[in-house]
Amino acid sequence: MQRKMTTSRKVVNYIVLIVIALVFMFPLLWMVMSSFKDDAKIFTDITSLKAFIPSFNADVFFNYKEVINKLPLLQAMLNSFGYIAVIIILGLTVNSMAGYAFARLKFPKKNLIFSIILAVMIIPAQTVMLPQFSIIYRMGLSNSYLALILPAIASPMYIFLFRQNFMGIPESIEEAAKIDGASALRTFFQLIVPLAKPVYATVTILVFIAYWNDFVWPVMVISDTTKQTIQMALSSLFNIQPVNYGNVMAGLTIVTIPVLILFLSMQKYYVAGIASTGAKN
Amino acid sequence: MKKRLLGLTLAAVMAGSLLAGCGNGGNSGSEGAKAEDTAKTEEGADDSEELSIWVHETDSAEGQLYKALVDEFNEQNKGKYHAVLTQIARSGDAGGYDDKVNAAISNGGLPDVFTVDGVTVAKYAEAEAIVPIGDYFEEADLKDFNPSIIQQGTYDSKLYTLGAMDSSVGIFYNKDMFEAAGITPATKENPWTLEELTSAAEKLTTDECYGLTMSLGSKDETLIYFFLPLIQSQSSNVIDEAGVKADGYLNGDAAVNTLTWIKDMVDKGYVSATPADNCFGLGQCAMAISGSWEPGNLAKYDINWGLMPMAKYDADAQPASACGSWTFAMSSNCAEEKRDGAAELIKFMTSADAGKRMYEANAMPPARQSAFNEIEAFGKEPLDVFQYQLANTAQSRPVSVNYAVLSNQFATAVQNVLTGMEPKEALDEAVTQYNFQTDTE
Amino acid sequence: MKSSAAVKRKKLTKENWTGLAFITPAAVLLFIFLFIPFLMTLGYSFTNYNILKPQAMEFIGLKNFIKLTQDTVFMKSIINTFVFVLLVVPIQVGLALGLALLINKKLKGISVFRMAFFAPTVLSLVVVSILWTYIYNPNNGLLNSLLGSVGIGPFKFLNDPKTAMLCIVILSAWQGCGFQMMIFLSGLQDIPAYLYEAAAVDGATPFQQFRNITIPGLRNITVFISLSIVVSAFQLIVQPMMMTGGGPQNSTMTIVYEIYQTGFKYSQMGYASAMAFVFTLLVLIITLIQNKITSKSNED
Repeated sequence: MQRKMTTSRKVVNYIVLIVIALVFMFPLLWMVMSSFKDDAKIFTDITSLKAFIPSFNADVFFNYKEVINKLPLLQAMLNSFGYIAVIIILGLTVNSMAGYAFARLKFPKKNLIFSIILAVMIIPAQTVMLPQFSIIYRMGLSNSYLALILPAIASPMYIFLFRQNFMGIPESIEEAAKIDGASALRTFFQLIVPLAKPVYATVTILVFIAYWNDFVWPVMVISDTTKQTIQMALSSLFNIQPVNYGNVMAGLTIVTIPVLILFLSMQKYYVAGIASTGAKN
Repeated sequence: MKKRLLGLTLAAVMAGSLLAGCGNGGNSGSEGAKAEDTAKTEEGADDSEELSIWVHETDSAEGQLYKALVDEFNEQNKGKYHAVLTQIARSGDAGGYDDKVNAAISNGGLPDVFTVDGVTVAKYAEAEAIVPIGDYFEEADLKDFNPSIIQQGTYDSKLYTLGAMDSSVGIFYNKDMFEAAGITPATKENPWTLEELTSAAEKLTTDECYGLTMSLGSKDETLIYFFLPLIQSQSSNVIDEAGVKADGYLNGDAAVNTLTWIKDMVDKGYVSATPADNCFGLGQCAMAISGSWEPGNLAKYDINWGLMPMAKYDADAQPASACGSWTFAMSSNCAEEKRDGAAELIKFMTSADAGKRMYEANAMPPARQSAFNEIEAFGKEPLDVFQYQLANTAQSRPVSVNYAVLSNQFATAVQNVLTGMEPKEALDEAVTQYNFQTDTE
Repeated sequence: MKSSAAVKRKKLTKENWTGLAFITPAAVLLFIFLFIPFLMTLGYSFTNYNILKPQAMEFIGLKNFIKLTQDTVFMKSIINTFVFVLLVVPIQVGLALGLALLINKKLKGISVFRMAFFAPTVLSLVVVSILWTYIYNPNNGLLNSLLGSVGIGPFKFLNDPKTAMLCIVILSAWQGCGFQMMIFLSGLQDIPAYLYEAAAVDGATPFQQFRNITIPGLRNITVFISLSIVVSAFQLIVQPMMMTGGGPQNSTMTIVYEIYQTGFKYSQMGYASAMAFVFTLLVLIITLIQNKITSKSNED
């Protein structure tokens, strides 16, 4: 699509990118900058662009120290990491296999089942929360991570996404494997999955963020404080009266870092396609 | 290389914490059973009676106090009772905690004792999710509680809940600005009328400074909590005595008068309809209607402040002030033979000592007069105003099954008035909606 | 076991079995954790279920649905929700596609820019909503002071029934487009590079390449994205809950917010379930129509 870019085009590109980046970055910037300020400063600055300019106290990380002393954030983060990792691993497998079946394989009542799955996607979480809790409770799963994991694995949304994605892969790729007599399972894992890395990376990020930020459901099913998730641990920052906004910002910054690391670490899966033809490499 | 190492460590940690988590969770039946496990490992198998208790705070100072109190209770009642505490997170509007309690009610998993916000007592009592506790307390002991605490916990003439803490709302003022404008603040016994408050606000309003701020930006419980006393001050309320009928109350003269005053203050520019957070602390407002949590907040700002009582409607009106907070209730799920123990636990959690330590933890005024006497800060200015109000002028918010609808409709009406509706029209609409939502004629 | 099943379903081929095996884990989980709860909700809609009084639940026929027809706030919230969907979907899809094209480049540091565009999605909606409430504050919010410095405004933003929903639309598109950007990006990367190479050899302009290669190449993904935005837009709740409480004058009250309030705050789960029933039917009809339209245009 593009030849090597000229320098001037590159500069224009970067300027456009930086301007847009600022528009999208500002809450994050505000959060990080505020995490170094005390409350009086945060609220004095909030009306102007000073909100995005750092101003450091003698003890630069005082908010961070306070938050870490007050809350068991590390334990809570590990808890969240643990159960979300299982959701991601099982969810990617289960949803992508279902998506593949709907995209490629023939089986009875395929369209009907798919329509039902699409219909289920529409249901707002709020309306099924209470019945879901009853089911978890009757299964005896209260206060276990399984209560967080099991309902989160299968997702109509991602089954649909995987289906759409697999439909875009040329069928000729599988034809060859079929002739060689490879099983569908092998074809799927050895041929299709590697081709669809970007969509797996995308779903990983989206699922991670969704459950990293989940609050009400974990509170409902988890009682043991040693099992609490990151948002449960964080919530008391908002409840300790009077609310210390400097602490809140530091807490939010701490929990945002893992998401950003995950995001950056997934970037290597986004270099296929066009990019490989553009510049050298 | 480094990256890979990090990845491996992470994976190992995840796997580890999962194995631990799932193994544990897989076996645990209900939450009750799980709690029992914990208790047994802690105490060994003795004959003490097991009591479960849920509270709405986790890692805050208040949450830690609950933990300390339960530990002391267990120590004191060794061999007799053993309380197992579950601390539950909530978001600002109690989402999370409330949802968990609701889910436990539908599925029968309520603990023996749990905390409920004062305004929700009626709905839990009417649904028979909680049971009366008055009989477990001695008359003299009950007299020690702030009258409004008893009022807030009483539904259908029976006492259902008691708390360790209370709350109060007054008018915080900037002493320097008062001095500059030559304004004498009201004393705790003689609150200002709205007219006096308005004229002070007029004098104090400048281009850079609002005369008064009163959280008009909020859309929730805050509005009825702050402004109901002005209606009660006119010897009226937003609902009838039985807590059922809103027509003639929520849209009655007293309520219309109150909303008219609010609208007037905004229209004249003395009060902002969308105040900035902490504008009083920052010196952008000369007075603030705010609650007992405010002093802790103001400590962070460079401001010389004082406290006046909540204003009354006019010279003929009686003073009224806000109150109410979280309380302890005994659930109907608590077995008959455990109820004495549960009552002991509630007594322990609401003792004068608990009230005093609660003040130290979260600055909330105590629910007992005897606790007040032990806290130096309430014996003198400025906080003596809160003690005086809670002993003399506080009136609880309506004890009504439909309180949630009522509060929400009141807040909506205030917001509607601030965005252009006439007070009477907005309140009539609130009554219509209230009747519709609650199927009241 | 196996043989008896085989007797009953002689016609099933090996591929049939594989297909069923592939969907079984997902289907079972969805059945237990979404489909059954949904059926339960449907059931509740014919009862007077109060979440605090589960024992007192009674069948009351169509009463809840009759009440719904007289519920002016619910009607208003249906209209509001549709307005929101109609405004936010095109804006968000456009933004997402634009951003995805912009960052689908081999530039130094591009992953940092990707992260920047994705930043709003990283924070929870609750936090973002609180932040934007500060920004939209008519008195001393950042936006009015910025606009004021170029001589526009001041506006009342969330405090004006006429503009409140628009403010929520802007915030939502800004917050949500990062998700769809990533999905578009993964779609863009699935388009085989040789197609562009061949087109370039044939002398196609970048615009022609976009029209004839990129757009068709993204077709499947676009179907997903527009449908998923429609679905999530219909479920709007956090922004009005945090920012406006549904006001002013119910101008930002949405269906799911109304369901949540009625069911959880007012404890009227039976009535809220009836709302959920109607909501699901509405969205189902719309997505079916949308699906028909998009699949038709795909065939053309």
